[in-house]
Amino acid sequence: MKYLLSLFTFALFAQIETPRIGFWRDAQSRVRPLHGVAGNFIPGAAVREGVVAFAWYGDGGWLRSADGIERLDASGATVARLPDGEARFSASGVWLTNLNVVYRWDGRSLKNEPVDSAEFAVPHLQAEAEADQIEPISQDWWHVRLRGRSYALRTTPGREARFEIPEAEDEAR
Amino acid sequence: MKLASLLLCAASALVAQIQVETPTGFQPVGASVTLGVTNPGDPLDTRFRGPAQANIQIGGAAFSARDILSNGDFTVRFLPAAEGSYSASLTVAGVTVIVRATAQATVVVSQAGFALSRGSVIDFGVVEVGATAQQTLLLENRSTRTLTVSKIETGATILAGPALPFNLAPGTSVPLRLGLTPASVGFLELPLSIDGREFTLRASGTIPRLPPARIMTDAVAVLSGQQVRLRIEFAEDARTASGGTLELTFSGDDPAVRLGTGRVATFSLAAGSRVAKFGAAEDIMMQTGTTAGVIRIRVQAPGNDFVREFRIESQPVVVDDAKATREGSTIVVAITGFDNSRGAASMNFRFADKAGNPLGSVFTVTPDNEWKSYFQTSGMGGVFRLRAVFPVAGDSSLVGSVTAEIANTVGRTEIGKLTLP
Repeated sequence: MKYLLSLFTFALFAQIETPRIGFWRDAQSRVRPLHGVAGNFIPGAAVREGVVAFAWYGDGGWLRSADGIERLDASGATVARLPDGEARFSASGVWLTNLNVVYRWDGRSLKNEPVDSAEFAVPHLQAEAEADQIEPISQDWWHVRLRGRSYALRTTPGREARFEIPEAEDEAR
Repeated sequence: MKLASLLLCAASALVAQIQVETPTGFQPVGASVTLGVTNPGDPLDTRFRGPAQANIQIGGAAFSARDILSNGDFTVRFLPAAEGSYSASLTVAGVTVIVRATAQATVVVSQAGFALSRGSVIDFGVVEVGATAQQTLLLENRSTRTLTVSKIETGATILAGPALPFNLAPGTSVPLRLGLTPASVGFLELPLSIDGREFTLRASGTIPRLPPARIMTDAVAVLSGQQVRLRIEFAEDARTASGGTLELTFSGDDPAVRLGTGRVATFSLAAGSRVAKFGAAEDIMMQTGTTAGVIRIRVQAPGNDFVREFRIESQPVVVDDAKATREGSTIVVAITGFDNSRGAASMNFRFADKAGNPLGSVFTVTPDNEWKSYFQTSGMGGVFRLRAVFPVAGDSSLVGSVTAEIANTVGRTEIGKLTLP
């Protein structure tokens, strides 16, 4: 026991920062950070505009614009590109649906793989058929655009909930 | 329009020094000019224009010159006492023309006992948009012979009146009830013509007043960290369609305190409804934020201007998410939550091995300055994400879990057992 007691030499207080849930694409096709905690969202200022499709998984993501499809790293920097086309995303893969081809990001480059459509499933929603947009905000959060409003859907097991994302432009930070 | 029946005689070669006002502007008159027809006792005014500073004379019963301006404009009034054809000589700067007019008995249109002259404005007063204002006119025969009314034309609604044509015996009258319904705010003017005698019906449309309203919420108690739904309910059905605004103000500084649309929202209310609509929805989301204070919601709508307050009390720290991870030779505890008092102070951490046996004593951290500095600069209300890093001198894989507790000025919050993967 004495040995265990000496495990901790000291506690280093590292950091207090603004919590960020992830990134999302708003109604004006802009990618914005989503600050706050569940039920108290503060949409941040746009970091990209003209975005056709977007998916963020916390440690990286995908972005589709007129310039093509981009693989983003954890900092949001573009690390690989593909030509534009209809696409569905997963944490590490992009499924070019028109070509029926999947590319997987292995941390260094995109590699071709067989298609497994189950990988690209989105959460089941009661109003899924009516949703205009379902995109991941982070690992446990999805953005659902439904009847002109934006919702953040938490999918953490046991803590599933739906919240509304306020969208007025006047308070973009 | 009263001059529409004017007949200009162009036979004369008189110098066009005298002009008469027509619907298309002033026109030169010839040797004679016919002013039109009016009821005995009903003045018929006609505007003329002559040379500036001209001497104006008119001779003949029932005619008079009035409103003479230095620029040469003047009015000839024909006011006959009895039926018949009348004429007079009008001399302007030495040039003479003949003016003619006819007096013919027609029904007298009266309102509240007063006879209305042609061209009169009949005021229906102020009325809410969508509602109908009513006026009852009386069509009277003040002459000594039977009169016939053949035609009544109006853009207003005839709510009650005689079937046309109809005869009025001397000394009798019939009511004519009219309705005006403004469709928008401002003056509504519509014509009324009774056998060619024209009047203007006027009402002033105003924003409808709504029944008393109240703000309802789906939350039993409004606390920090909530999204509640606000709904505006009126005491009774709205008589007309209307709308208003809902404005949020907050006593503190927290951008998360807001409505779904920002800090202002507009709503509409359909006629026959008692629930306001925000777009297509019957409610609107309000975020209560993560700062203690008072949220005020002001509703402004016709007949309503009131505020409902939601007092957000200080509360112990609320933890939304907490994780403990092993990163090499360190244990990292990440806590996300909010402190609506912004008075977070000490934190206690207690580590245990995989069997649940305590490892050492409680680690107490009191990072007052870090909290203060963060809340002063974050501009994000009371939300925070804290990462506490614990370097381990020995084998960190022996650590199985950590329990944490965080305190602010209101109380302590147990974060519970965080199991290390």
